[in-house]
Amino acid sequence: MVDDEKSVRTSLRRLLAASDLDAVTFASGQEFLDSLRQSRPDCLILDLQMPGLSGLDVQRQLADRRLRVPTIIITAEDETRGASPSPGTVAYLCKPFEDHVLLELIARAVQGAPAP
Amino acid sequence: MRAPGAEPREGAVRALVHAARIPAGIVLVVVVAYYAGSRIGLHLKFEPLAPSLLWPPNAILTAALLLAPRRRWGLILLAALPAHLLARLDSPLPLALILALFVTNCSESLIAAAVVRRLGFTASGLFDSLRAAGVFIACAGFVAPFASSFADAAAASVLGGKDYWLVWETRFFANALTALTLVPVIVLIAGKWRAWVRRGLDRRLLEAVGVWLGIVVVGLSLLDVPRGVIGFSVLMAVPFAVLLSLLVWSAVRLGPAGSSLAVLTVEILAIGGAARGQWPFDVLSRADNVLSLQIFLIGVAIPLLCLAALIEEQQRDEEALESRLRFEEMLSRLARAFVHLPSDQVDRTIDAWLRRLGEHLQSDHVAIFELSPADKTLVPTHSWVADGAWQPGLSALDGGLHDSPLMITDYGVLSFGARRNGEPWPPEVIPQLRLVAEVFANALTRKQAENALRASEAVKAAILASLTSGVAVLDRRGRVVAINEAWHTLGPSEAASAGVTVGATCVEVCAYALPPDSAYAREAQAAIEAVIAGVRSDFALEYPRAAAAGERWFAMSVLPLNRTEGGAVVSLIDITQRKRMELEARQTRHELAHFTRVSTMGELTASLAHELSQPLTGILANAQAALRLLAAAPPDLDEVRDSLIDIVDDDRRAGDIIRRLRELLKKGETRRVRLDLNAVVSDVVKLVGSDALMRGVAITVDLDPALPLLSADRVQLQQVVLNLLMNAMEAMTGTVEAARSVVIRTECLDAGTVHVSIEDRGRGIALDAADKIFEPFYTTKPDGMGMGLSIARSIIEAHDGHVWAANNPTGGAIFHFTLAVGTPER
Repeated sequence: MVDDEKSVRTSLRRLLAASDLDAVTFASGQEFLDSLRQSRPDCLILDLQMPGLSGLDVQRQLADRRLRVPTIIITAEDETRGASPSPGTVAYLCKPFEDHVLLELIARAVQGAPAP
Repeated sequence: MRAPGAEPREGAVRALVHAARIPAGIVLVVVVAYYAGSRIGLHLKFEPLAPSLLWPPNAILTAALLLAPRRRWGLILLAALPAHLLARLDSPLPLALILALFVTNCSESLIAAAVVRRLGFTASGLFDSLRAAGVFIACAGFVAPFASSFADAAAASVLGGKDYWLVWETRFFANALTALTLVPVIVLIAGKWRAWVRRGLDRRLLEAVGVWLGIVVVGLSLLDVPRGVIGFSVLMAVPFAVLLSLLVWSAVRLGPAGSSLAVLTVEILAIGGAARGQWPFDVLSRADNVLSLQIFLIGVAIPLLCLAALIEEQQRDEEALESRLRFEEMLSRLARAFVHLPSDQVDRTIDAWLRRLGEHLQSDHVAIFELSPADKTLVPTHSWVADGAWQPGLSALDGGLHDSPLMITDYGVLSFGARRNGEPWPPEVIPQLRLVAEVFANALTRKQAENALRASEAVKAAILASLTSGVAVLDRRGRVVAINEAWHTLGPSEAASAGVTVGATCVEVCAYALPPDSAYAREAQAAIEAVIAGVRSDFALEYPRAAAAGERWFAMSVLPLNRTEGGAVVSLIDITQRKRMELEARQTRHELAHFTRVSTMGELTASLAHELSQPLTGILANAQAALRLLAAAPPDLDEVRDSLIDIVDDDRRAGDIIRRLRELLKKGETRRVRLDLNAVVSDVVKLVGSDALMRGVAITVDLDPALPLLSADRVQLQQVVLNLLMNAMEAMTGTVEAARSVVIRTECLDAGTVHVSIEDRGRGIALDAADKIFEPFYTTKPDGMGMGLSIARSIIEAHDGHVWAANNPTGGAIFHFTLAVGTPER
């Protein structure tokens, strides 16, 4: 999970842990990209607006590296929904969102099902 | 049709006739008088004495020469010739002798008149002093008949065969006697008849007539004494004594004219009596009678003439002295009359004094002419004219018309006319008239100065009265010396204004104008006293005062009175209207500022939503995680507690955002408090943090930790920082994302001023826009309103600060503003 907001990272990590999901959090896109050398996630929860590399920048770099990671984009803005979805994007979630929606999306992403 | 030149010729003829009138009159008078005198003289001539007993023609000629100017003497003598010949038409004497006698007659008159003139005497003053009378007696009564009688006797002896010495003796005594008695009568009557006629029938004339009748009666009574009474008896002594008394009386009381007439009357009676051989002239032979009579009468005439002249001289001196004293007394009163005389009475007083002077000096007019300073002409201002006299005009100043005094002063000219008594102006009066002229000139100059001063005062009073602001002028002691009408309309009530008039004190002025017992009143009073004392150069104060129709505002200004005596001018203006407009303008500005804040918030909606969504996301996720943790068995309560702690933090964070928003959006009154400018900057930076993130702008904050607290309105300062930050970020839309940065710095310039700069990396400011960017409605953005920077400037200036902008040499623009640390609002 990549989000520059500490409270969002902490709360989501706690929610996923309570749902028996193992989540690793990153404060920036660069940190996440750097971590790919050690491990590859089953699912990526990615914030769109971040200082430095934005969510879209991260997706672009994943595509550049020909890595296909199912991604759930979380954003505070409705307008970005209209932007062309990058390859691997499972869904957009507008902050704040319900826990069961997120968990369902994660489950679907991990199973490889396309986004509804 | 008249021939050309006829008119001038007629004029010349008329002028000639006019010029010839006086000589013709002289010729006529001389001819008639000489003829009549000759006939009388010839009538009184009896043989064997060839010359007459009384010979008037020579005396008449002498009197005529004395009375006439020297240039007429030839005419007079020539006029006498036909009269002389006419009177001798029936004479048996040869023509040569007649002509010779004419020559000797003329020579006698010429000698008498010429010597008298030579010695400096004229007809007018010949008998009013002892010295003049002595000269007349010596010349006309002795030298002239003495000398001319030699020639006369020679002619009579050679051409008429008469006894030389007998002729000489008879002629000398006869002519001397006639000259001594007849010449004074003619000269004095000719000189004074006008004055006598004007005087009319008065006591002096009645006295003269009485004395003359007395002489005639007594003289005739002496002649009527019957024959046979021989020698001087007591009866004779009485009429003689009476006659002598009457003669002395005439000399003492009636002057030289009366005296001479009296002697002439006695002379005519005596000669008549002697000629007829009447008593007392029948004792001696006729020749001896006549001679003794002539000698007697000469002996009487000379002392009487001298006595009369002496008395005349004394009387004249006394009169002159009395007149001079009266005149000097008048001058003294005149001078006193103009001391401390109010200027509005000067004209009337001068008119009264012109009349008194004119009447006293017997001038036919007195006039004052003012020398006009503008065109240097003389303008008549005051005049007095004697009844029936000629009205003086400017031509009175010609000077050639008569020898009248003309006094020139700084004011103008004081002119007098001819004297009504026909006498010349006495020279001793002239210096005194000069003093009179100076007194008049001083009074009139003072009147002009006072009038000018009054006019100037009136203008000043009118200016003061026409002012709409209240003005009170205070003197050095702080007392009101002048106050205008408007002042009384600015007070709290009519009753209060009644107290502030000339003479009121500084305390009363303040009590009237300012709220009583207020800090304003105390401040104003102290300031007025300081301005009067020269400690302060000026003072200005705006203050409110309760009134029936609501609160009113006034502006008081105090300036030193610009004069050596010192003092101050306090002016009072009702500025309620201005204050109301200022309030309205402030309200409008306030609303506009609020409107722009609201619209800025509108621009920030997306970023604010983003900003709020972060804590809300955290809250929701934590809460749901906690629920899941509690549902597990066993529940992980430590993790639940951490969730709750994070929820509280996120909630606070969301609350802060909403607080900041509410602050900017609220529409409250301006309120200055002590605040930390760094905190204001931080708040705003947080508010726009999300927007900056969306715009890809990095905001760097460099705050001076030693910044002093400011006295300012928090929301207004937030708006300034917000506007400048938004402006900086919007300026960088064309800048590559990596370079988009804003640096905001605060620093303390000095103890009283802080400085804030906002530096961007945008397109900078166009050269021609540097002066306009802070003007209202100036914008470079297609959807901008152009009010952001204008409002920022008005807020900063209201906080005693300045705002300006410049291009950054390394790219972009830097906006600066300073703020005064200030004191909390009263």
